[in-house]
Amino acid sequence: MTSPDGPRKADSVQFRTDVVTKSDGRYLIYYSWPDDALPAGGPGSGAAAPARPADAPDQTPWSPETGPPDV
Amino acid sequence: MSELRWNPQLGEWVITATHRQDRTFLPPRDFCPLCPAGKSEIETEFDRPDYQVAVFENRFPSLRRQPEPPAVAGTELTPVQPSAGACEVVVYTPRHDATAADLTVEEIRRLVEVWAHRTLELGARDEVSYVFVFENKGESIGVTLNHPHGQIYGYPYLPPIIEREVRMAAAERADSGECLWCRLLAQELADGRRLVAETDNWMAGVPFFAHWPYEVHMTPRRHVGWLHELTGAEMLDLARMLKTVLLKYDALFGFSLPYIMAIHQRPTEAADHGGYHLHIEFYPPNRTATKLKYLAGSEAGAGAFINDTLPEETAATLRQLEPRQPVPVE
Repeated sequence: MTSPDGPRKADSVQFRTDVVTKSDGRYLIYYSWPDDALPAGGPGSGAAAPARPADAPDQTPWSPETGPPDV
Repeated sequence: MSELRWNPQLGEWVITATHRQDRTFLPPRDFCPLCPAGKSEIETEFDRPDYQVAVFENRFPSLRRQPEPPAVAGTELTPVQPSAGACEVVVYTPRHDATAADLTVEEIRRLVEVWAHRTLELGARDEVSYVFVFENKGESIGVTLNHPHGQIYGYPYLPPIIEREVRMAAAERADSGECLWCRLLAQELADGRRLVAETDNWMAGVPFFAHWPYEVHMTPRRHVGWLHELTGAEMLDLARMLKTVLLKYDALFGFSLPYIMAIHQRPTEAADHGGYHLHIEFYPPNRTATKLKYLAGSEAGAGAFINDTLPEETAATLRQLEPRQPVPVE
């Protein structure tokens, strides 16, 4: 994102991302919002997720301080 | 096979993507590839029994990160290029039978966050000049999957409509020193006849120059270029506005109205596009409950749209439909 007038990140994003690499090499990103009271195995719980690939980014929430996770 | 072919008649690229002929076409509910794992008779795109919002690379992309070399040789007059770029699918909800109008305001707000995040991510790629978030809804639009979802394309060039808008915005800035959309917004708010809904941060209305009978444009009051520039309050208001207009659409003829949603954001290429103002356009194809507006001779052959309705009248119709006020936050 290189426009001279420079974008500013939104001030309210609190989601997490979990990136999975599919067998054919495509990426799949699960977005979840940790404030939700999620049942075990429910969305964003990660209970049924496979191990994160070594080259996939950490599940870091996007915030103005940290910036978006690298996918 | 996929490549970009240059059309010197119109000065624009055409994407060929022959593999898309093989994509899944309107599968029955039990064979939906966008349902969570275990909810379909087939292996779906997901490895989990549930999700909130998910994004994945399109299995049948028109543009891709590592494109194959073009299958044909170009010429000086008609060059070809690899189809570099991005094609993503955004799945709004695990609920197969829902539509975007069925989502809660909070669920739509989260979707806006995802669109903003994908714009940042894809826009940072060297090969992407423009990030286009859109949704095709309804079989009359040509959707191949009914599960609620949208798409995001990362084009390696400015698509023709965006290029034209950028050019017109630059001309307006040179002439008046003002933003084209800020001027349109002020004009529509002052006139009032084409307004459909208003919140503190957004305005929705049928444009003065609408192509489609029930076309609606949503514009933020503040001059921003990208979704990720919106404040939290502006994102929440956008979610309210989206739900409000979609509910009005569904109330229009008494069925879930098909539409194309096109989110027009500022280009992400390295150039000064500061005059570009974020806005969202909806094009429903229905001109009545049973009749569609087709792109026929004048539109398809000459690019000259003919609208059989008056924007002042269609806006009044939409304005009077429920919900008459923007939906509240649940």
